[in-house]
Amino acid sequence: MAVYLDHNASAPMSREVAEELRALLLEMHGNPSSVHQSGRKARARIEGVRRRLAKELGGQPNEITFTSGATEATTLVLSSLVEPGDHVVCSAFENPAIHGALAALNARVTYIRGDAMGRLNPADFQAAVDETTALVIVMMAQNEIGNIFPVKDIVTSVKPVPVFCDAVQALGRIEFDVEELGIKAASVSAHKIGGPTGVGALWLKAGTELKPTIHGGPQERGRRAGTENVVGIAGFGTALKHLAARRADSKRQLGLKKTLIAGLLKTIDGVHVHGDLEKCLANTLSFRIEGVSGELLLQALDLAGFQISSGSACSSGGLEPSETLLALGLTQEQARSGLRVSLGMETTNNDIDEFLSTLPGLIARIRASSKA
Amino acid sequence: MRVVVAMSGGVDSSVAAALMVEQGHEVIGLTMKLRDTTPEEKSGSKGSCCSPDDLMDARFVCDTLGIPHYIVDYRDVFRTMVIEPFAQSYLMGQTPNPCVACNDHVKFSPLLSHAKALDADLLVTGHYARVVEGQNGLWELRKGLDETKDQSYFLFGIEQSALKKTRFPLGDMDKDAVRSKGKEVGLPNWDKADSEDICFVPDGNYRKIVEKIAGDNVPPPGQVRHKDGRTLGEHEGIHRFTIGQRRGLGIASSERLYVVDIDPTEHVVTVGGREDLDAIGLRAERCRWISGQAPTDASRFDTKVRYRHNGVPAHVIAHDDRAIVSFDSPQSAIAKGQAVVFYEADKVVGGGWIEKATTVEATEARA
Repeated sequence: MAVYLDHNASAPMSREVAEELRALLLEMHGNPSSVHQSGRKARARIEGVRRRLAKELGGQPNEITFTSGATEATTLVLSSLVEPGDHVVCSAFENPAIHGALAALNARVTYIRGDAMGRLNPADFQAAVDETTALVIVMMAQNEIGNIFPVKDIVTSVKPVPVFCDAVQALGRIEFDVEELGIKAASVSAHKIGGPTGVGALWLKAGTELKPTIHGGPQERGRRAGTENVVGIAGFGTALKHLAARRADSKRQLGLKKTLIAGLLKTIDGVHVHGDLEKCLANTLSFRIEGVSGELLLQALDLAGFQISSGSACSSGGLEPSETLLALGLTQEQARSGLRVSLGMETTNNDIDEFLSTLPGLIARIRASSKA
Repeated sequence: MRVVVAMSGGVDSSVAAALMVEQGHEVIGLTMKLRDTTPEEKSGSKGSCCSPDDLMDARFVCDTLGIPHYIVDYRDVFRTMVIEPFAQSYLMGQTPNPCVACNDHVKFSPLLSHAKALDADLLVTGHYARVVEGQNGLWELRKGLDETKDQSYFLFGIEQSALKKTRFPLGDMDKDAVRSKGKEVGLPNWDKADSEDICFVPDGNYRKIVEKIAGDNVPPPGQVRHKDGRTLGEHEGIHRFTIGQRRGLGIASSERLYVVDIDPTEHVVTVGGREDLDAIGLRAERCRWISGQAPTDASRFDTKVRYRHNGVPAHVIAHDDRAIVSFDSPQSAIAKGQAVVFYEADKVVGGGWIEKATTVEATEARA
């Protein structure tokens, strides 16, 4: 038995995508740069996905660059919009991809923390930017606590400073339009919406030149060299076709999350829920259980057949307490108790019931073993 | 049974895990993250225990065996209970034994609790030692059958409650048998080199670590004196010396000289001839007894004063956590900070930490 409750780390590939890929792996072998029939077929496929993604995001096809994932998209856009030594204003809730790229660029960074629920105040961004600020960075929806940040208000408050938005967790979960938000750039990833890993994209508003970080051929309008991941991009496209159905499932997932929260609070002592439940992704729940190590509980749950996360998937392997939870003002000890459950289209009522009936026993054992 | 195997990524713990799988247990591999990765290790050029390569090896072995693998973060407890005391010990002119401290404060403490929290019945490690159920419901710790690999010396501090929950499946195997078992079951690391160094001193240069932890309190230079009172030269800090050391004394002398005493308050290193290293006994503190009870009468035990020591028969008078030991024949280079471990044949009776060597002179002076 395995109950998968870690959709924010990676969502299971949807059946439609898997079936499409199975066929494509046998048929689609041309290099999209080739002149011949197979090459043209591959090229046509990629361009079709580019148009679909542009439409989904609210931008133009020529503003889309396919990458190996959101991390590469982040590196690509930051290397283009931030000069070494530039000032950047960044929310305290960003992905390690952002911190890594900013450190590599030697940027001067002002971090904006929220309140204890992780709510960001646009006025804080406004106060932090000055004439030397090259970029403002804020996620659309936070991967660990699920908060949906007021991107549009932040864009307005920092004008004319451009805003880059990590939209990885937002895609397929909430409606948004990059033009309507007024942002400069956004990153997305295929494997969070039922597509394959290893594919993502950058949307960058026309008018800004991208500085390639991978050098070579003229692929992707010279913005990203290397033969395109044709099958992966095609799989991304198939996943994009089913985004509306994913979004429509949010209401059901919210019901499951409410059952989960009520059950946790009822059956276990010392449960604390993190984040802004009023303005939050329907599928994401971050919580901690006093005096119980998140890493340990994660392992005990895995052995019992439940797959969750102790933070973002990146930090689960890193053994460091979640930066996101620390940014909420939690102590190191409290942050080390942090857990994340993230639901998906495949999650059932029964999954939640079983999770809730298993957890108290594990907690009791862990608490007893730490006393002994 | 559900069992947790402590896996370093080396061949011993990997084979221990393979044996437990073979015996039909539900096996979980745990690797302790004990310290941060060095830049050399990140580049893959150098490695010891806890390098990324070792973690990957442990994970790969678990994948090969089809068992879950997790990493547990013990960097804090390892730093405060093993590395820092190791450095402090050198700063006090002693010769520490970090492996015993690690077993006492990491493996058979938080790791064992972790195993219990995962509902495991046993904690298994790749030590060359044996756990045997004895009489009166007491558990015994015995030497590994391969005398050249026996690691029972490092385990004397283990308590009954922990011993009961611990197994060492390699205890009745020799190293060759372990390697061929690893090869037989298809472990990718069956021919990986043995690690001989202290895991957090991969290049053997312990002084660097001691100086880093000492910070502003790095011991000052001091005098090297002969036992007869002559000053022979200067040294660059007492932490660079251990009792019995012959090389690197930085002095020219026609006779062979050894470090025979280190004075941490006056920063004096005293050297003398080989015979000056001889001790006829020692005093031990913080003793632990495997049965949980100190022997009530004066006893005769085989006594090891360091890991690679053949052992000497000795007369031992124990009182609570202290012991007075008189060797049957003089022993060389008894170093404060090392462990003394008592055996009855291949059974570990207990052990403690060497507080002071008893020299012939001291005895004569008293008489």
